[in-house]
Amino acid sequence: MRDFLRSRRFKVLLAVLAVLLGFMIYAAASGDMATIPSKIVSAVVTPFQKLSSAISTSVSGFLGQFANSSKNYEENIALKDRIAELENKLVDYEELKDEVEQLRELAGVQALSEDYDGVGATVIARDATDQYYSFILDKGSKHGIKEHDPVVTQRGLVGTVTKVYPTSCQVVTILSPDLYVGALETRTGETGSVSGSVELVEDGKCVLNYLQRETNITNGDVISTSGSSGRYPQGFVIGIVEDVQQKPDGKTAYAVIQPSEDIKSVSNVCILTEFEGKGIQAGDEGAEAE
Amino acid sequence: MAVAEMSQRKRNAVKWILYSILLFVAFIFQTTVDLFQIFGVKPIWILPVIMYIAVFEGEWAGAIFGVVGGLFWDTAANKLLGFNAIILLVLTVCAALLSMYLIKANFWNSLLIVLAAALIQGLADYVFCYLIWGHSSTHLILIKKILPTVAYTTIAAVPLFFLVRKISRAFRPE
Repeated sequence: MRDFLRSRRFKVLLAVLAVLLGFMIYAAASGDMATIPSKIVSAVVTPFQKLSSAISTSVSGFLGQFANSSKNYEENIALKDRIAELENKLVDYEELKDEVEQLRELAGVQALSEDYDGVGATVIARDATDQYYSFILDKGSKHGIKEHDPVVTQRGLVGTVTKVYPTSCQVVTILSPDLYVGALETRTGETGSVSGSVELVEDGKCVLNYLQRETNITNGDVISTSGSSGRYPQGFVIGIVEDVQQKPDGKTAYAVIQPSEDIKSVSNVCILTEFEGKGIQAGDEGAEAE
Repeated sequence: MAVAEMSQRKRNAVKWILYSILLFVAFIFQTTVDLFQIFGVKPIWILPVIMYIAVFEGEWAGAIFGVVGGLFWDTAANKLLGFNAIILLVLTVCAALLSMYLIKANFWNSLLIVLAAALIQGLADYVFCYLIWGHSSTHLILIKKILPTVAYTTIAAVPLFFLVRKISRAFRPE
């Protein structure tokens, strides 16, 4: 053992350790999480991750048809009920839409633009040790992706891009307590901040914080992005309120939200590179990676 | 060409290529969505492969594979670059020294080394990536996710021991 501690190898290992520490300190101090070495490693492994992800997805999809048949049957019945309920609401929606259009014309107000520029992307990796279900997408800076670009699906908000490599990027999801999204309840107009919670992450849920103690938000209300920070488009659905509770301090309330998208198993997403109001008002929202 | 007929240099080259492929496959397994997932827990594949290489091939090989595997892991996980590389560097050197000076490199000792390494990595991950950030109830992550992952990793490490030992023995100098 003493021979080893005096050997040249031991000194070289110490030097390697010092270099790694240097990398860490540089990455932490500069705030540039995607440093040159990680960009190189990422460029090497991304094609293989794409391949393995494609194989794994097709195999698990094939086997899942048999393994989950009972669960799929129950889900099918529940979805049929949901469709019937939504069809009834759609009738009201169409009537209200016409009414709003007429009122807009009368008031001379233009409709908000729903145009977004986005890049479709596929989840190619999820690390076993990330407890907040962050993942890697197969699109990077070569495809115009930048840090803090919102990641969405047709169902709703998924998260935000935190690290960008040339051909891939890392996404932190709304299940992470490190991500804060300014949010709005569409019925009451109450605002708050959506983020993840350690207690709810396993259930795939997040919370809407900073509500007034006497909040009017109730179960079933829809939570969407407020767009106040300029980092997320306004009016993008985050999820549905499942429960409203008082904080232990009794000063504020919070709502438990079931995200519209299944964050834990989402596989295809869209990265919004441009949207109306982007970067207009920075401040109260943000993503902080570890 | 049979392994016995290869020159020593060629045998070494094939051995290191096989270890590299094994590490790469372990990395792909570890990061592939839902692969080997049971009750929301996936095993860590990189760690046992690297620990076994350290046990059978010594501290130098262990350290190199530890750093490379750690950097790969850091890139895939939402971690600061170097976090896992440093942990694996230290763990592999310790494992190699243990097998060289104190314990025999048999199945149970090697599995114990993997268990200890997975536990140390898991605790470091818990402290530096969850606990110190001040979120409430982080102990749930330790109990419900990290400790089951350590257990699952140790179980998943069983076949890897025989695989690494087979490669090590097949290409051992005569």
